Order: sequence, then structure tokens, then C-alpha cells
Amino acid sequence: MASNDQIVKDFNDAWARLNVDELMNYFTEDAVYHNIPMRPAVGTASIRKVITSLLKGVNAIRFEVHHQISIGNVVMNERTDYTEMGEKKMSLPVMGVFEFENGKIKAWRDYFDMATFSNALAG
Amino acid sequence: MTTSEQVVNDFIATFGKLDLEALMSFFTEDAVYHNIPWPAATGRNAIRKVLEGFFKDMSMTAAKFEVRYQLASGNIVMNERVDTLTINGKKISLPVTGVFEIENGKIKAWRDYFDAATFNEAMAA
Repeated sequence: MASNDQIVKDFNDAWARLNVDELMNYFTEDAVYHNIPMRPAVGTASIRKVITSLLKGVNAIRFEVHHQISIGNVVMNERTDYTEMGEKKMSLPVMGVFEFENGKIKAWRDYFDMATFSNALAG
Repeated sequence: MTTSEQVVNDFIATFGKLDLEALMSFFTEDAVYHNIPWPAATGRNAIRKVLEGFFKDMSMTAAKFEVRYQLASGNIVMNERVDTLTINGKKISLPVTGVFEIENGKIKAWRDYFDAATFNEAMAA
């Protein structure tokens, strides 16, 4: 089985393909995806909705990982997430925490500044 | 525990004492302290001003960093925390992740990721 460290790397790379079904494969049934400034999405049905809405109108996504540490069932990374929507190009500084269970993501929490995201989207 | 992790643990304990001079002794001369939603403070003088801003201007009278996870590898330490701060008599809890770069036992970079609106709204409430 791939290491949790490698699974997070693969998951980050998978975002670039903008494929919801592929991304959903990484989560446990009862997973929690929490963008900290927003409400948590609990369970795969809710997570699918959040990811579908995040990918809507998006031409390209790239997660650039600056630092990543994996110990036990936890992986943390510091990233810049680049998103292209039509003519708009956004870059968002993010830190993510991933909790693993049997090679799947059981919890994913992303910490970032909501206004940085909203202003970039509006700009 | 790695040496770098020990530095961060000591720093967090010291932050709880709100002791500016003791906190400043943790940073390298050229350290960068960046609360990601705000401008970065580069160098000890700028960092001192930011911390003074918290302790004096904002009247921070208590700070407790509760660490949920902390991972360390080489000179990098990352943690996920809830920072409970008493500012102007108001107690606020802020979900934060931090990354610390350590050089020769000192903090060369400290970046904290959080939602500024969560902080501002708690302050205003």
C-alpha cells in the first residue's frame, strides 16, 4: 500500500485532472472535509457536492506543495493552490491537515483566509 | 521529539507568558513572522512591533495555544492548533495551522494560517 505521504501527493496531483469521481475515491465513506472558514462537509455525498461546486467553471487547478510532513496517520502540508476560472487566475496560500484510515482520507481540513479567496474570485 | 520541535514547544509555552523579551530571544535576526492574511513582518524589529501590537495595542492579557497535531521533520515543524486569546477582556478561539522553520535552534520563519474574518468578527462581537 502506498504511504499516506504518497497518497496525499497523488490526491494533490489528481485535482489537476478536475475529475470528481477520481477525487472521491480517496475518501472514506464517513470522511469529513472542512474548509475551516466554511461549514464542514460530512460524508461522501456532502463532500461530492462541495467538490463539484468548487470545480464548476474551473479551467485549471494546481496545488503547489512547499512543505509536507507525514507521521503516523496524519499528513500536513503547506501549499499554494492555483485556480484558473475563465480569465481569472487565483492563488491561495493554504495549510492542509489529512487524517488517514486504511489508506483513505478520513478527514481533510484546509486553513486559509476566506477574504483572500473571495476577493480573488471577485477581482 | 526533534530539537526543532522542542524549540516550538518552548516558544508556545513562552507565548502563554506574554513575555515579549523572552519571545524575541527565539527568533533569528532575519526571521520572518507572517500571519498569512496580513503583511509579513521581516526582521526582529518588525516582529517586535507585531508582538507589541498584540500585547499592548490590542491589550492581549492571555494566550493559550492548544496543539491538536504537531509534525516535525528536519528543520520544519507544523502544527494544527486552537489559539485561545483574551484581547481587550474578550476571549476568542481561533483555529490555526502554523509552520515553523528552525535554524540553529532559533525560529527563522513562522507562518500562521487562519481566517482573518473569524478573528475580526470574534473581536467585534
